[in-house]
Amino acid sequence: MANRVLIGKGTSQRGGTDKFGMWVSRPGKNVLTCSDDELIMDTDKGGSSDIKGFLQAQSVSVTSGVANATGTTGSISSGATATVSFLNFNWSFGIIPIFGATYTTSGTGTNTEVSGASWTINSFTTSGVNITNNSAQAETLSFSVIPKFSNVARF
Amino acid sequence: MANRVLLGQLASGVHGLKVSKPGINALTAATKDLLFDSTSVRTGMVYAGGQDLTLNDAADNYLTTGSKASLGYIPLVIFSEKNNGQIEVDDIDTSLYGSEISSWKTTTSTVTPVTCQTGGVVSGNQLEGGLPTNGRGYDGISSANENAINVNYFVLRIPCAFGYMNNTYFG
Repeated sequence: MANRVLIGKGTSQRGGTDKFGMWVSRPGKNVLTCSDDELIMDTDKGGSSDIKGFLQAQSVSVTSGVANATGTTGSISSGATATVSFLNFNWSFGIIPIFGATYTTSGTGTNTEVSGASWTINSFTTSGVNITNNSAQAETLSFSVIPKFSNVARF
Repeated sequence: MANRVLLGQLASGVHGLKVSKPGINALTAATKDLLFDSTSVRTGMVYAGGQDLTLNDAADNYLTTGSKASLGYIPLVIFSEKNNGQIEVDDIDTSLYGSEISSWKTTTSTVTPVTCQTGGVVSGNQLEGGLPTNGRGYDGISSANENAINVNYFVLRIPCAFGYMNNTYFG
């Protein structure tokens, strides 16, 4: 059975014995000696080619006192511009919003018609996103946020 | 309070680490309720990315021209930008439809906004259309409404292309 989890002092493959952290390898790979690409958790060595973080989408809350436990949606009329406000994300580098919408179809075969949403994200802060619904109908958009990893253009 | 972290024996002969969502017991949690699961073969580790970029029609090198090593495969990239959603294009007497204007081409070093070639339905009810082209250039759509503006993206250590979805990268 392969060593899967390494917590504490690193190995030469993990950046050296002067490095401390937590690493988890893919099933069947030895966490002590496998390549960086064979890790599924990596607390990295701080090098330019190491990972910068984990992609963990955060559910957001728009109501004071309500925990960020569920996905959040907002309805916007056709052609309208609105700011969707949310709470609890005062991260130093800010947030990046991820929006999604549904599509509906009607008819069959060559007569199938697709109706979907289109929208622009005009601006965003740690407490709100300003969006415009460019669809021909009102839309309910779902969104979550991801923390920015740094204050530079590329990381 | 729920048990949140399980480290060690997960099942008979299986060792690893599981971390559950708040309020979920890590000992019994379904996979969908785990924040981390060492039985997975890939996780969303962010290798590179760009923030607040106005690329318009241009490609962007996420290896930042040599300062970061190539992953050796075409990775999964998550995008957020100004223009999103469906696009309808009127081409003389035909109305064409694209499901997503925020479409991108990804290579082992770059991401490029693309124009999807909307097609029609041919015999057998099959869709046909050309390959996407670099840059955004839909007829009748202004640059402000189609270009890659205010782009944020995350390059994940997850292969996502034909030829890389195999045991070499997922085994």
